[in-house]
Amino acid sequence: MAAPPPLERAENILGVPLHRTEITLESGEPYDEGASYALSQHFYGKDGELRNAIRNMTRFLAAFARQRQDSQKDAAVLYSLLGNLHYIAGNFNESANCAMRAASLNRSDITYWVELAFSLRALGEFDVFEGILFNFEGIVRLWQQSTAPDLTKEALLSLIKEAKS
Amino acid sequence: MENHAILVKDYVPRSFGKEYWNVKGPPQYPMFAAVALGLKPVMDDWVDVHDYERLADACAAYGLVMAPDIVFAPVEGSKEGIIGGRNITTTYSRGEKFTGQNTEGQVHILIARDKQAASDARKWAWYSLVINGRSTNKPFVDHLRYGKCLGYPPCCVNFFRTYNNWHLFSNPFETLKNTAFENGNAIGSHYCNNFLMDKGYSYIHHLPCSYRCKASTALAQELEKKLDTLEPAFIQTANRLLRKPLLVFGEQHFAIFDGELQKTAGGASISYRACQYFRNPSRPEENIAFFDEIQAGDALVMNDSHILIKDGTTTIRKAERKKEWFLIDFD
Ligand SMILES: [Zn+2]
Repeated sequence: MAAPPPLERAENILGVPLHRTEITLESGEPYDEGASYALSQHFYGKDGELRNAIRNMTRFLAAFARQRQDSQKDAAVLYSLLGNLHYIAGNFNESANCAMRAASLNRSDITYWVELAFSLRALGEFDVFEGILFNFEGIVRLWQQSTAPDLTKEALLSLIKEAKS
Repeated sequence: MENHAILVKDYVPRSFGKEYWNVKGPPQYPMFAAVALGLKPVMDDWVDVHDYERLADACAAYGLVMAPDIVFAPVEGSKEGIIGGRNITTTYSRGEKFTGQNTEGQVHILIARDKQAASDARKWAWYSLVINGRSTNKPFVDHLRYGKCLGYPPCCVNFFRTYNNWHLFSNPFETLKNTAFENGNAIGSHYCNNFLMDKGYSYIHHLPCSYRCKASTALAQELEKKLDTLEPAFIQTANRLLRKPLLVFGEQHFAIFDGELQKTAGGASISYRACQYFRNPSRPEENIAFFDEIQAGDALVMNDSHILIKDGTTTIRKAERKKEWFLIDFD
């Protein structure tokens, strides 16, 4: 029997029903905070449960990334969910890293850019936050065309600079 | 009845917080006092881009600092075609970076006793502004963190956590449902009456979890006690107005009466000498059509299904009642 889809497995691990669809620039849809909302409602203020959830998701994601290198879009969703958990826990460097990893694995979905922007805002990087929001489409398109393998903080700053010019 | 007297007039401070009031007027005067008096850690506010420096000076006069966030710039036209338009109210703003050189709009600011506290609060202070045709909501957990930063009681932050969706819930009605009724007393305590906050009369600036929330009452009483020694006329005026009965339609949308509420078996009624209507500026689509009749009448009866407006013994209007509308009095 085939293993259930990764999102379903994440739902089982976290005990929270989750819904994720890819949001692209072309879809004309805004960032969908449904998953972030559900996770916040379930975990915020419950530190022990949240720590366990982060540990279990991290393990699941590591195994998934090893075994399913063909499935980058699914891995991106899992990184984003782990990032959401870190955000709720107040680990904003980790949530920013997860969002950058997700944006590297799936360059179509704008969700990860919003998650990255808010992680940086939570770190007090207001200029970078505004840099992303005020140049949103330009940055996403530049990143889609970029040949760089991974989105890093340095790459992000160059994208903002390039999109502004 | 033909009484068009204005019930709720602006209070002009004689001494305490006058500098703030001169720039900003009444809306958040008590919250400014609460921050200046060390009772509230941070407040957020908006100031016209041209008045930014004046407000910074007013804050400095009380040992307070401001952290600028972003400019809420005016928008013309409907929200049709905006990505994420469903998440914003009918009247909305466009986000513009604060440069100090902006020519229009209101700067969103955080006011606190030190720069760090103001900057920390700013992290969670994002509003769904429209930037390049796109509106983006902040993560939900930021609302909870923000409430905590602004000094809201945990019970009220938790209440918000449950009833935050204004597409589904009328917040005041949920607060009413969560209010334990005490026989022989008014429904709410005037300490938890936040309806007049935009007119500058409210000891709290959050949605209370109940109109008798103990934590909100405690915060309000602290502010009342301290401000009474500095600006007693404000406290007298606020305490008088905050005890007047209201007909509530929704958030920031209500009528206030100079009159008395009577509770009856099938509903409640108010006989009144004067009344005043407050609309929610962000949701003009919710305005009621029969306020002129309320103003022309002298009594109002509310039952499960209708509102009857009377002038003497004559019923001048029978309006269908929405279930989330209610009458409330305060002691
Ligand atoms: Zn409360």
